[in-house]
Amino acid sequence: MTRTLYTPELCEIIEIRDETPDTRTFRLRFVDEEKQKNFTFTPGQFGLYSVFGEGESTFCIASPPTWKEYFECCFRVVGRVTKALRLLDVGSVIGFRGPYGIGFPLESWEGKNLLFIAGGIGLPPLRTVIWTILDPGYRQKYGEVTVVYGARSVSDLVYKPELKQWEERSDMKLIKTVDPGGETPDWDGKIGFVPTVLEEAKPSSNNTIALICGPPIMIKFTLPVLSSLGFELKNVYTTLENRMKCGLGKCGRCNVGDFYVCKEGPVITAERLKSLPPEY
Amino acid sequence: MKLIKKNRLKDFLNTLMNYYDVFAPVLKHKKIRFQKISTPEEVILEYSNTHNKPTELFFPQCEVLFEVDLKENIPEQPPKPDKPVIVFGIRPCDARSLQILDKVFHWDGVDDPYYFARRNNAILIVMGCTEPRSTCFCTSVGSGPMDHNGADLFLTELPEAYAIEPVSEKGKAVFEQVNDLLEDATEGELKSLAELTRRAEQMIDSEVNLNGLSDKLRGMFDHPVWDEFHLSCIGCGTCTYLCPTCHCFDILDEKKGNYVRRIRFWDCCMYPYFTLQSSGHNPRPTQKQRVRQRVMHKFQYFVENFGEIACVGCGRCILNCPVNLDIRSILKRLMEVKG
Repeated sequence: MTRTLYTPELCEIIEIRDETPDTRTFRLRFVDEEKQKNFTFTPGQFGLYSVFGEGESTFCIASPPTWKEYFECCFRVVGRVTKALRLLDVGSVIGFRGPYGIGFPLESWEGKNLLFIAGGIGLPPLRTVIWTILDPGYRQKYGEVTVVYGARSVSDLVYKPELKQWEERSDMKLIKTVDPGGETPDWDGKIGFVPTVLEEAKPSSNNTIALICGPPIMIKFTLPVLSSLGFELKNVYTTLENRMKCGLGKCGRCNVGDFYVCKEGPVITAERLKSLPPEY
Repeated sequence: MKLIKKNRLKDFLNTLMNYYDVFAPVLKHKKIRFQKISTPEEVILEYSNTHNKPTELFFPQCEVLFEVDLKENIPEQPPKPDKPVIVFGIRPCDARSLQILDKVFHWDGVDDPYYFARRNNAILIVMGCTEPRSTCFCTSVGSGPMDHNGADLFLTELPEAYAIEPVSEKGKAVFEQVNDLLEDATEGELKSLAELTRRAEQMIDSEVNLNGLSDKLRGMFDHPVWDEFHLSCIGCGTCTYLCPTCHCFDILDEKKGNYVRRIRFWDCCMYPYFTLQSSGHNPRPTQKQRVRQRVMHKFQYFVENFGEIACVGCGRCILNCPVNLDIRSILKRLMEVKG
């Protein structure tokens, strides 16, 4: 069998979890054991996931590289490929190409506090970082860890069992919120939009890196809040998700100005983002 | 300087066909394009340039990346060509466009396997332009009708013969293979070659001064001048499908029973679906943004990433645009306005 850059590796679905009514997590393992053993990546990198006969789709790797036995992705059912993925069962085999792109510069953040701000399905790209730094081998290298996470409604929150774990931990702080009207009678978190909740929480910008991922509208209203809290743009990171086909800088689709999301991204600082044309 | 007499060109091509698959300009559906020839008689020699871009020989409009039998679920790549290829009669601008595509398909050392399998397998016999078109502007983009860059062998048409010069090592090998058919040029013929070369460059009468354009464009993304160009554009994409430096592609799967093939095919930044995300969000929803992307990509982003502009001045986009949009006018206007 001749392989090329465009030939996916085969991965078996070993576990499926429904995060929300339209969002699903796959736990995947390379069919080739060697591949699984040697698979490394940086949190923030992405892959292209295939259903043969339907096509390929791009998602981040949602699990941390510290989990060695498998990796995870999380997707919302919206298009041809994700609909086909939704129909697969445990034991099915899908294709995977990656990891591609450049992840978060975790090493350069040692000694700093980390503030995570996520909305809806924007949590998976940050969850890989969160679990990485919560790993016993990494945790003492970083200061305070705060996660602000919101969704439209309680049922739209992803990773609910993990949110519970994070709440119970003493080495991090979780602030969870749902949009007004999205709460349930037994909801024990905040009610309000992410930017508002963040403003009330007043996290310190001192020696702190902010990571933000979520719908464009959330990012748009959160950036001014971060500025008012004293965050410099160079200390605010996000990830872009322009449409892409090759992941290798050739298909010419994901560029924002001269910035190719698949090569230089998807992780980008708010400072660099500000210098690019608003085509993302 | 060696020559091949016009009446011996047939033998020349026949000799090449013994060793190579020869692709040359032929008439197909009333248009001239490059195709594999089976006899020298098929070759059209009276042409300014082909309608289709010859880069399609290396990066075809549609190709299979791999095939999968769903029962086996193991992707298999289609076989590679085994016979080396000669592209006979490609114009200097198009040979140069391949050098530009090389950069994209080799970005950061990541070689596109399909493109380079064909590219490394091919020898380019470039035919200099003695009769450039009115839409040609290669001299404005750092090239010219007798530009040897990218050629393996370079041919120039003289009244009775073709002057033939080996340019690369690959070209020298071919030169040896056809050596028996070649003759030495007379003094008169050398003079006529020099004269033709000089005249060809003068015949390119459209000149656009692009000095400093890419630096200027860096600060011009929000300039009101972008409100002008797209007004007549109907978004048909002809310019991108004919442009020899355009390389954007899409990938999708086709399925029949258990047989699946993943194909890639040319895509076009002039279409709204190009950047449409599955959420419904589109970073470039208007034609203004898409026209700006095309111009900026070729004359600024590409310079930023690869150090040169992604236009070879072949004029295909000008010649074939159904609403007469002229890239030269766009560039002139961009040079004129205050940055």
